[in-house]
Amino acid sequence: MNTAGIDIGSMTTKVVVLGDNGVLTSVVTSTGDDREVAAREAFEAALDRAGVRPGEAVYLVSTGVGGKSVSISQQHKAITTCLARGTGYQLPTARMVIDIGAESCTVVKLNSRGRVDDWASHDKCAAGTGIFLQQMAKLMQLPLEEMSALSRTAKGRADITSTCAVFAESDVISHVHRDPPTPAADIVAGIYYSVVSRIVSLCKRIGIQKDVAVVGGVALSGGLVGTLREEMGFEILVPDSPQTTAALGAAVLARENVEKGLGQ
Amino acid sequence: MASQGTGAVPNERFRLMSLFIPPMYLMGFLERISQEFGAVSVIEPFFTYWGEGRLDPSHPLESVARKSYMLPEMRMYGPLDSRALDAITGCAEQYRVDGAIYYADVGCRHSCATIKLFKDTLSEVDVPVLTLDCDVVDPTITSQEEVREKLERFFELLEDR
Repeated sequence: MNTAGIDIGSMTTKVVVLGDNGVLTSVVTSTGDDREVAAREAFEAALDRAGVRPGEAVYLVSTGVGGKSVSISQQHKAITTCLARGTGYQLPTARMVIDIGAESCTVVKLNSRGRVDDWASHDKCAAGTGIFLQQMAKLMQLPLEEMSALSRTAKGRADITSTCAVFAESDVISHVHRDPPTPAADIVAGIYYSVVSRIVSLCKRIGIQKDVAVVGGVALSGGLVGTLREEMGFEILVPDSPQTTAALGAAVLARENVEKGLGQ
Repeated sequence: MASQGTGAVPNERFRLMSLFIPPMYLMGFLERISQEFGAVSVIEPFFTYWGEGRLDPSHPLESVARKSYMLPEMRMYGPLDSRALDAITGCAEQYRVDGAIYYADVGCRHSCATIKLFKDTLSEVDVPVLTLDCDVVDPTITSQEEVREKLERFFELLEDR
């Protein structure tokens, strides 16, 4: 039986379909207002792309902030468990995974078996999340991709708070309107540092443990990952498809359930 | 109940240690969670655990005073040494706990300062700790949904180990 995992985040919905020989396909779509509709559409698109015939049985496990509210999955699992399984599949040497999503950041420490040992997350403020970066890009009138490239040309780093997204926005506005204005590259470097310092302090709460992997949509930002690497002082692993790691973990858990005889 | 071999919940799956005081406004909710997930708080090692020391009827006041001083919770007000920490690990082993929940009252800097120490201590006996930021009486600090989410994650962690 094919298995699949769906991670319904606040911004994007991710689906991974697993076949007997590995990942058949993965799909990333916008979540929009209706999570149930988004989940159905993403799941159907993934099955179609994977070549799964209509009516063919697929065991589906859901996760993410909207994972509980959809009716198409057979089981819901916590994001921490899914991150552990997905990271174990993609990067077996990782002992810590940082998931930077749109509205939250979760750090999971893994034991030698790839199971969750501990975790910490912050979801009370946009500081240190993808939405924060998006907001800052809007403020700087720069596409996210350009921000990443620009940060590499920075000669300094603007001071931007990491404790509050609103205060950070005020800091950026002050730098832009300063006379002379702070160079845009230095502001972007400061924005990345603001996010990274928040993430590093979250990691320290549970104890940093190598190898460290970073996943989630924000892991696609080379500039941010570079800043994270500098602050950590060692190499940070990024899987090929960092956005779908939790969905992949959900698919792996679905596979485990099928092997236990569930879903027959 | 214990003599009849009956647990506090019909399907006991997780035996938990409570560290400090759960939010009073969540007591009913925690009771329902306990039933739903088969999770039972079996020991609280600071305020309710009858640790070292015996009462001496011939010197009641002196022995009560001495006994009170020996409560693990009182140990925290002096040097936080092995006497208090051993009580925690001892309770964890004696009561065969699967995990511990640290109710971190955000207004109590004194107790919150021990989060890392207690976590490290319990990890020595392979007991994972969930830290729940909360206030004993103020429901605005943490919501019921947030507590539920964290507890569900923690139960999955315990189940998956």
